[in-house]
Amino acid sequence: MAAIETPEIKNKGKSNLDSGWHVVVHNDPVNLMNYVTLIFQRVFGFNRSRAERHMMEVHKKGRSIVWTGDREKAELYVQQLHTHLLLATLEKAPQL
Amino acid sequence: MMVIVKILDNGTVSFEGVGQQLFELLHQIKGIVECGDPDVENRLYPDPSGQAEDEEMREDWKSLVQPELQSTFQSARDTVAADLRRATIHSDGSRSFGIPPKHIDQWLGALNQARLALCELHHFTEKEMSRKIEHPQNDRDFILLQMNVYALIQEWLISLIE
Repeated sequence: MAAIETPEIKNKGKSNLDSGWHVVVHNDPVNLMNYVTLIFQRVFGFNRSRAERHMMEVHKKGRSIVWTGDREKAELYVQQLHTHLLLATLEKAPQL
Repeated sequence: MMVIVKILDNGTVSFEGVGQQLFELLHQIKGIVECGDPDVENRLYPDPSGQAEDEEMREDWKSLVQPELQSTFQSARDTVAADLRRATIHSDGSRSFGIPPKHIDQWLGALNQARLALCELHHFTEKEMSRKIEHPQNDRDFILLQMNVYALIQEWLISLIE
């Protein structure tokens, strides 16, 4: 009886081992602080205090990771943030 | 001339006593954004990827998402222009107009587009934008004043929907 070779599995495209994707919002000098807070509440469903915390992080540190998860949803969030004219990018989370 | 802002029973935000100069600033929103300046375009449609090598995503974004954003932004500007066209002109030259509740988001968006566009067109820094306006007859100070007027209206509208 012939031995069955162990198949070699190659990952093509999206890896199942992805640690996720960050949605990052960057500071810009024009968007109003309460506008950014409002958009975070609307897009992510954050309560006011959490939305303000992220807004302040953007303001003081220049960027805030507002969400981490699968790529498809992260892209959708970036699109929604762009619709509201926030500077948002998708970034691969570091492998754990 | 004093502008009176009222919320009507049906939720419409009513502006009365709007002088010609303020009305003209609002009327300019559409033109400011539709100037075709590449810096303005880059700000309205920023790079969605923080990964330098993600060229495929950028291409997809440009062909799939950007047209949707363009349509949303255009619709906001058109809504503002239409609300202004419905303004009533009074014998003293002042105007009154209303923003129906379902248009508030479009106004917020269009005002934001105009402020972002002015910032790009005139290369304002964060520091300069927070400085005191001392000479509104000076072109650069006038643009800052215009941005502040738009921001003030945004603040009013945000306070209404919060």
